[in-house]
Amino acid sequence: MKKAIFLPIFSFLIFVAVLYGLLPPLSKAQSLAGELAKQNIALQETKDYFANLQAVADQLDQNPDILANVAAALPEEFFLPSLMGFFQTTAAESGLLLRDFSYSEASGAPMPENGVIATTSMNSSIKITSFNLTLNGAIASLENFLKNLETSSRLLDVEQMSFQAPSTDKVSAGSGSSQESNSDFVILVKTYSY
Amino acid sequence: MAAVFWALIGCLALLAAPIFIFQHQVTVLAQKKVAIATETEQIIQSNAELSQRISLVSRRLNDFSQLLQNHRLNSGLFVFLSAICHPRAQFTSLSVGDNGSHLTLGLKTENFKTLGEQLLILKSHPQISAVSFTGLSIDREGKITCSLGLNIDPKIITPSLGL
Repeated sequence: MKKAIFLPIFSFLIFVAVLYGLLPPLSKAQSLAGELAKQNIALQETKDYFANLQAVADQLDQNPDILANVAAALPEEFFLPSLMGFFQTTAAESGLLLRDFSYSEASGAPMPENGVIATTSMNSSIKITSFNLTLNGAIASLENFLKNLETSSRLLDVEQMSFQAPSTDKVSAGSGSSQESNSDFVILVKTYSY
Repeated sequence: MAAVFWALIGCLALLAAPIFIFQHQVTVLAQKKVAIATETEQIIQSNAELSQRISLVSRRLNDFSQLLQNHRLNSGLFVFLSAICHPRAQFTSLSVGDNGSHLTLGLKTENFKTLGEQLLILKSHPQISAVSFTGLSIDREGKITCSLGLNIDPKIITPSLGL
């Protein structure tokens, strides 16, 4: 008779033990196991990612020329005297005379008197500096000058170009260019730096 | 009745084992989880310099690639102009627009016939999309001068656009 009293109590205790003692840790263990599997995958991916980065870094170390070329094309700093010297030397080597120039830079360098310049930012970090160069010489020399700019290690874009052939009759027919006479050329060159 | 009673007692006793096992498992899994999180954090921290270096290189290469995509080779324009110029015509001035696809040319020809032929050459060229001319005049020597506006294929100046 006494045992019969305990039957519902024990049944209730078993129910409570299953509900509050067994199911929560079981559920939590399953949840943790799932999270652990995801974390393991993430850890492996992190390891793979850094292994790949290390491999890339090793490749870059083995071929330093790649970055050196990019650094030359897109230097950290804009150094005006060096660049103007390059323009002047290249013009002279191409047979042109650098008559005038104007420039500007983001730091607010003094504007030349005749300067029509724009320095803008292409994206968050690249600084674009524009130069207006006035050159004098033959068209063939201008072509050489442009080729020299294009093959320069520094990235230079000639954005605008204009010239007027002299009024003499020395403009060659059919070639679209003046072979002998000197003309004034105005070109807008853009250069890039950080 | 007694059998049921003892069976329930047995069930209660048997339930204790899996409860303890699962609780222990929860503790172990939680510890493993913390350990993995710590290991991941350590790996990230120990490779922070490498990550920063590669990120910088990546940014530079992306910037360079973007600039190279629009890099202009204006010297190609002279070859193009030589090819489209009539043997009896002369280009006396040139202005290349900011976008690199519009040219303004000064033109001098011997006569109107040559001018017409020059215009036909330009209009029939596959890399020229629009031709306009203004300022038609005759100079003191009887030669015809005018100004031409051309829209040319941007690939002539920016070859990488065709890639």
